[in-house]
Amino acid sequence: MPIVESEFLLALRADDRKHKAALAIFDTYPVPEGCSAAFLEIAWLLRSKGKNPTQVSLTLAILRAEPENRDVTEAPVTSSQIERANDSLSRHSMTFFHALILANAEESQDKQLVSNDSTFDSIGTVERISLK
Amino acid sequence: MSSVTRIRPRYVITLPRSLRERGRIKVGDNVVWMPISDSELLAVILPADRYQVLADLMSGVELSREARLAAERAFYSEAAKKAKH
Repeated sequence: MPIVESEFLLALRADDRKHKAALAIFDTYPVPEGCSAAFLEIAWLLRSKGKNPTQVSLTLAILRAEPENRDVTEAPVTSSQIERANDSLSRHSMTFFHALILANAEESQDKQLVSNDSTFDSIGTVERISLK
Repeated sequence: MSSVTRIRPRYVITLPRSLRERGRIKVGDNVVWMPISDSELLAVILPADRYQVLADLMSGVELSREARLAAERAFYSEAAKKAKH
């Protein structure tokens, strides 16, 4: 099953233009894996937008509840993935969060990542599934 | 006004009427429990439509390259601040 990243989590918003596409992922892939690093990125996206700590906590709680209700498993960040991310950061132009998410997908069983971000294509280690 | 509710088997509780009415709480709403200390919890009541709740909580957030870089800068900046203390 594919890994879902930050874009998917943001698309769970009712008014997001990719909202229907995100929900359709649950039909196509009944048990996708939620990437822990994506939750970390979402937290910092919110903080960089000036959201207060309570708003960030509430958002993460609701975001976690949605996959849990659908039996979506969580793919945790491991020390091996941190090593991979460190390697990617030194070799490619990507953010820390990109590198962690990529490492997460690289170590997943199917090596598939649900994302529209073409940054992941240049590395060539995972198959990207677009949110259409 | 505070009120006391006993925790029943399977940890079921009933929200007191006064709180339900004051907060206009409806069946189906979401409750987010946030631990404050060993004996204190903050319960935040949110509307039933989680997707709309997420839209409200994450309004104005986008995932452009610039936004991702800004998130990374905020993360590193906070880490640097913590490291100084």
